[in-house]
Order: sequence, then structure tokens, then C-alpha cells
Amino acid sequence: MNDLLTTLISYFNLAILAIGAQNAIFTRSLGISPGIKMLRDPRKKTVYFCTALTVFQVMTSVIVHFAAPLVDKFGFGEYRRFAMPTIIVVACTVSYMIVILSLSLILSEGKFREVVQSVTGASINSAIVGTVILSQNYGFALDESIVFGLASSAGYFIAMMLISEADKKICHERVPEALKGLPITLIYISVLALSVYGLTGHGLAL
Amino acid sequence: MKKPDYSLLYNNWDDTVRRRKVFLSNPVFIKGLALAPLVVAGTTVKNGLILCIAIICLLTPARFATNLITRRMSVPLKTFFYPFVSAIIFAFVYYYMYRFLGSQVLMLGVYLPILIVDPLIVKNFEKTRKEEALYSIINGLRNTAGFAVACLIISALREFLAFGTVAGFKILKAGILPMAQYSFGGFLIIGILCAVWAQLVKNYKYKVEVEALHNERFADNID
Repeated sequence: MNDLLTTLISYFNLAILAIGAQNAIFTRSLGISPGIKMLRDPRKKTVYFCTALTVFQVMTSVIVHFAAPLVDKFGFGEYRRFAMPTIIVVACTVSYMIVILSLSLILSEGKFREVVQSVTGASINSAIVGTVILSQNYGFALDESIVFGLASSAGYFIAMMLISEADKKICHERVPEALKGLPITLIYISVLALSVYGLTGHGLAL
Repeated sequence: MKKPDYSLLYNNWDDTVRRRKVFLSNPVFIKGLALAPLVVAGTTVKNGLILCIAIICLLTPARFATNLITRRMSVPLKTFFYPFVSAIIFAFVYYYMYRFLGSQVLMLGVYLPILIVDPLIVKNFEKTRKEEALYSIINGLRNTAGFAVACLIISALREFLAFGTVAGFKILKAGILPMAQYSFGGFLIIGILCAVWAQLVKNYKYKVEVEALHNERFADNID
């Protein structure tokens, strides 16, 4: 019982760390460019995009967790740091294939076409690659990697919802011409990031 | 200095934008690409230079290699092949940067490896238009130059505001805006720079338009 409680508390701490202090967007700025690009693309929907990103994040974390030690096993341990991005890209590809195959079997053709745009966009981006590299650098166990990945995606989801809602509600007629579009979105994100910093109270170790 | 032919610039505006991409369609200030490394890691000129070296070694070779290999591939395949090629090139670039520049490269943490999937590198996969090999090199170099200019402006300004130095040279006793070293300061400064840049582009476009119309009227009067 005590062990279970300790594990749950450690998961909770990890989740709070990933959602708050190391929020993918507000603190680490991971996936910000594809996120903003997605907001401006009418074919992509925030909910589909972020849900797909969560699924890919978890699947990639699991695959990389098992694939990364193979580099050491084949005697290339000292090059692991340099090979890691390639391993993650391969893991993302495998995740994407599994998800697309599953969706094509489950969904009707119309729904599949609607979803696939967002899914493809979310399948590989800096939010996934950055989080998986961080998990590896921190030396997380499999369960910790999954919790960190899930919470990181949840943090990304929350951040993107806040940004997309604000993007709709900003009174663009009152915004000076030069600030319209990307500048005002970045300034809005900076205010939210400042509030997250105020809440957690510390900077970031790269 | 020879005055540019504004009528030509105005009548071929798309071509003008392509040719003057560094200014008129800057990948960072206008398109919002590669923001992650600049917001968090672009806090000093030193870091900015490391990011620039990585992009110089990565962007054009990845674009050229992918352009040759993925000509007949479908979009989903390209989606992964593009980062895959850039990841392989990056592995060598990262290794040699580490060997020549030392642990300073590692100080940038995840912000060098994530470049392989940044839209600055992989944005091209959704385009159905085929790129000529030579054009992919020219376009890659233009994007690289655009990123380098933006990266150096952002990192120098942030270093000056946060620490009162530029490239390590002391200019002020202390930083006047210490928040510039944090990510929220990065978002704010880049947002303001984007606004200034967008206004400069708009002013330039207006000038070209006015000069072109003026030239046309002048030509009509002569006729």
C-alpha cells in the first residue's frame, strides 16, 4: 500500500512538472511553430491535432525506450546522443503507420479523410522529439516515460486550447496593423508564459 | 547607386518576394518558423552562432538530398523521409560540432536535435510542386540566410537586454531587462521584432507600389 502511494505521488509530481514547470509551450516552447501553423490551417482541428499528438507521444516514448539501449548493445554507446534523433524519427514513423492502419480500419472513409490531415501534422514535431529526448536524458523508466509523455502532451493540449480560444477572441480590429497575426499571438503567449513562471517560480535548465 | 526598377519589382511581386526572401518573407519574423530554439536557446550571441552553424550545415544539404530522393514519393512518405534524411545529416553535424566546439554545443540541450523536425527544415513535404535541384539549393540558402539574420538579431538583442553585453563585450553595467533571458521574455521580444519587421515589409511594399505607379504615369505622360 505504501509503495503504491509512493509511486502514485511520484507520478503526480512528474505530471505536475510536465504540465506546469516544464510546460511544452509556455516554458520549453516545444512544438510552437507547428502549433501556430496548425491554428492558421482550416483543414486541421486543434482537438484532433492534440489528441493525435498525445497518442504519438506515448507510442514513440515506448518504442524509443526499448530501441535506444540497442545502440549500446551494438557497441555504439558513445554515439547514442548523436543517433538519438534518428531513432526517434524511426519510432515516429512506426507509430504513424500503426495509427493510420488502425484508423483506416475503424473509421468511415469520410471521417478518415477529415482526421488524417491533423494526424499527419501531429505525428512528428519538436514537441514529441524534445519530450522523448528529455525522458532519455533524465533516465526515466518505462512507466515514468509514459507518464511524462502523457502529461507533457496534456500540457501542450491545454496551452494550445488557451491559444486557439484567445486567437478567436482577440478583437483584431483594435489590434494595431503591425501586431496582427503572429506578433500578437506571441505577445499573448509571453503573458501566459510569464504567469506560468510566476506560478512555478523558477527558470529552466536546457 | 543604381535605382531599382520598381515597376519590374511591383509587376513580379511573387518573384520579388522569392528573391528577397531574407527580408520580405523571413522564415522567422514573417513565417514564424524555428521559434522553439530561438525563444529558449537564443539568449546570447554565442548560442545564436551555434544555432546558425547547425542550420547552415543542415538546411540546404537536407533540402537538396531530400529533393533528389523524394521526387516520386507520396506526401505521407515524405513526411517521415524528410526528417529521416535531416536526422542522418544532423547526426554527423552534431558529432563534428561537438568535436570542434566542445561542450558548448551540449549546453543547448534538446534545442539542437529538435531542429531536424522544425518546420524550417521539413515544411516542404506538403508541397505538391516539384522543386528543381538547383532551385532547392538556392531556396535552402535563402532560408538559411533568413534564419541567420533573425537568429543573430534576436540573440544579440536578448543578450544586450538581459546581461548588458553583446557577444561577451560589456556595454552596460547590468542588463536592463533581465526577463529577456527567459522563455516568456523570448516570446515577447520575438513578438515585438516580428511586428517591427512586418511593418518594415509593409512600408517597403508601399514604396515599391507608389514608385511603380509614379513611373507608369511618367511613362504615359512622355508618350
